[in-house]
Amino acid sequence: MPLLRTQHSVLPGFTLSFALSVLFICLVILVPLSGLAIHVSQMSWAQYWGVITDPRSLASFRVTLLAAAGASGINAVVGLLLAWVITRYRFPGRRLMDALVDLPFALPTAVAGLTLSALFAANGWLGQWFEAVGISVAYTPLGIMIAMSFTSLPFVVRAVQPVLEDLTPDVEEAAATLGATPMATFTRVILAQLMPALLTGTALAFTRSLGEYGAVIFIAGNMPFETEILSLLVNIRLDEFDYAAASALASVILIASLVLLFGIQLVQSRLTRRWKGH
Amino acid sequence: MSIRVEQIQKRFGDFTALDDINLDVQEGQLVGLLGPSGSGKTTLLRIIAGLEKADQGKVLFHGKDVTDLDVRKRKVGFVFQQYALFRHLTVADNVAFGLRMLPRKERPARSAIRQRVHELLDLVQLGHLAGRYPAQLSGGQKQRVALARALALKPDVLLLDEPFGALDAKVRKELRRWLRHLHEQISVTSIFVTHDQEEAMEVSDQVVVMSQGRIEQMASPLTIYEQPASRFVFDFLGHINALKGHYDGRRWQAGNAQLRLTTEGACPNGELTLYLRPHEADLSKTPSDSANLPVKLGARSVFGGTVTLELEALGWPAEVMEVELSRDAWQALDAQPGDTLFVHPRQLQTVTCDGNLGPRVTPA
Repeated sequence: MPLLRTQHSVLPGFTLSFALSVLFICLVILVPLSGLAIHVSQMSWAQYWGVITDPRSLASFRVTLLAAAGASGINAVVGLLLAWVITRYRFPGRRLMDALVDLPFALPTAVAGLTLSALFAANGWLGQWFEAVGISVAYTPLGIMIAMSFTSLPFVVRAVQPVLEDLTPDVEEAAATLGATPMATFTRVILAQLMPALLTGTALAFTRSLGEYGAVIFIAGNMPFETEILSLLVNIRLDEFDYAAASALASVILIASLVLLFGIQLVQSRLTRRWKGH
Repeated sequence: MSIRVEQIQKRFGDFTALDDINLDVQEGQLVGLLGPSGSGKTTLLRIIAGLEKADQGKVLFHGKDVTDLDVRKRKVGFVFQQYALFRHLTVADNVAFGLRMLPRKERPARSAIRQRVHELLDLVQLGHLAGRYPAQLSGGQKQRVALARALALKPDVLLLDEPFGALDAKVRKELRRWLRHLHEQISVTSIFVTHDQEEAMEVSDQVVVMSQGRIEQMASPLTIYEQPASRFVFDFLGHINALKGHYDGRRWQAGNAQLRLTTEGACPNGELTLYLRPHEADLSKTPSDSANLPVKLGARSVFGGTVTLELEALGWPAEVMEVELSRDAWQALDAQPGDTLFVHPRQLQTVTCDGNLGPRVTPA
């Protein structure tokens, strides 16, 4: 099989469009990444290991990972629900709801962070009710989780929505004539078909949460060892002109995200390739 | 299991989809619901299945009222026009789906399920594709998987909604013969919906012709064709030529065309419409005493054992007519496009003044 296989197309210009895409990817993604790699490569293994196993770094990994995992968990459920409601039901305000889903993308994350911290502060509109039952949201890992789930919700909804729209009602009717209960129809037929999209959306939400900065720092409280997220720690190291340490920490997020994204890509293409008949 | 439908009514907003439908299907029969789109045939099928609720009326399976029984409990096998296969499951898992959905107590053991799936796939001649996914199958194969899936639970009733509608002509023909054979093997009471006359006539024990939410006629294919109960049925079963003219008690006339016949079907003012089926006429180069219908030979289509001719009326008002001749008759006629020919109807159907079917007549 030849390495490059281009199908004859009515639209010419494969060479040009391919070259431009590669150029853009290089300039915007690969060159900055190599900058990071170069910074990191100036350190010895011992130095690198020292930076990333520093107790404060380890604590920030833990906070970031747990909060991101929690946020993506919430978003997997809420995002699926939202996508379901938007595609399945017709109600006044449906289009508005559909548009609002994208708001976290449009809103500057710092604005979101400020708003959320004001809302969830101990005396804020929402925070006071949580405080009344003994739950502090602002300046705790819970607050970090909420901020992260706010900024990454659209990923899940937008990944699931088109697949959900493609599911035809006759498949559900077929399940019903075969005796499947509504619950079984949902899990064995609908959810099973949504799984690849839901997985992709959730993984994207997770990687986005790992790197989230603006929305989180206002609500996090930023206490070292407790509510200090990784991207904040990177920023702190930069302020101290410790570029090497900052790069080392950043490389950890980067590697984690890349591994996750490739992994998801692999699982998803395996699942859907067969469904699509290749 | 016999199926009985009593006084079913169904409206969608202002549109009456089904109007007082009564239907009896004997055990083990294969019944075709035939009608143009919008005639209510699919709605009726979905009501029998329990996928749709009727506004009024009853559905009985084997004398038992199932009108309010949930679709899950009706024990119907349903085959959808667009297959409705589970694309994320293999062929074998699609067929096994119904068995796996059974409550734990009734569910067969894994090995028994595998065995049953195997049998069903052999029945539909797809045993070798058990591990494929639906997207890897052709349309005909998909529909056979859908059928195997619908049969897995040994349904009392098998319902098929335009099962061959999405397939191309050749596969359609193969598959409907195959369905006929399959039905002889398993003889489960079956109803299938179609808008294809040929399909209904070829496959069914009984044909139900529907129009505008009503049943026009239910009878065997032969009876439907030879004794259509209404003008609609006559009209719907294949092409017809409508000849409009006047009748004076001995002669039917339109322009310079005339036929000698005796009938009592004409209107008081003498108007008489005659229906002529394409295969119930001969052609010759000369008129006869009883028939003088001059036409000009237009396009011809040679396909299989018959030759279909388009004929343009010469000097009398009529739409372009269609006549079918056998290949031999066509060769004996030895005519070229543009030639003047004469149509000799062997049999004609009169249409009465109020639009119903009158007696059949023969020019003499």
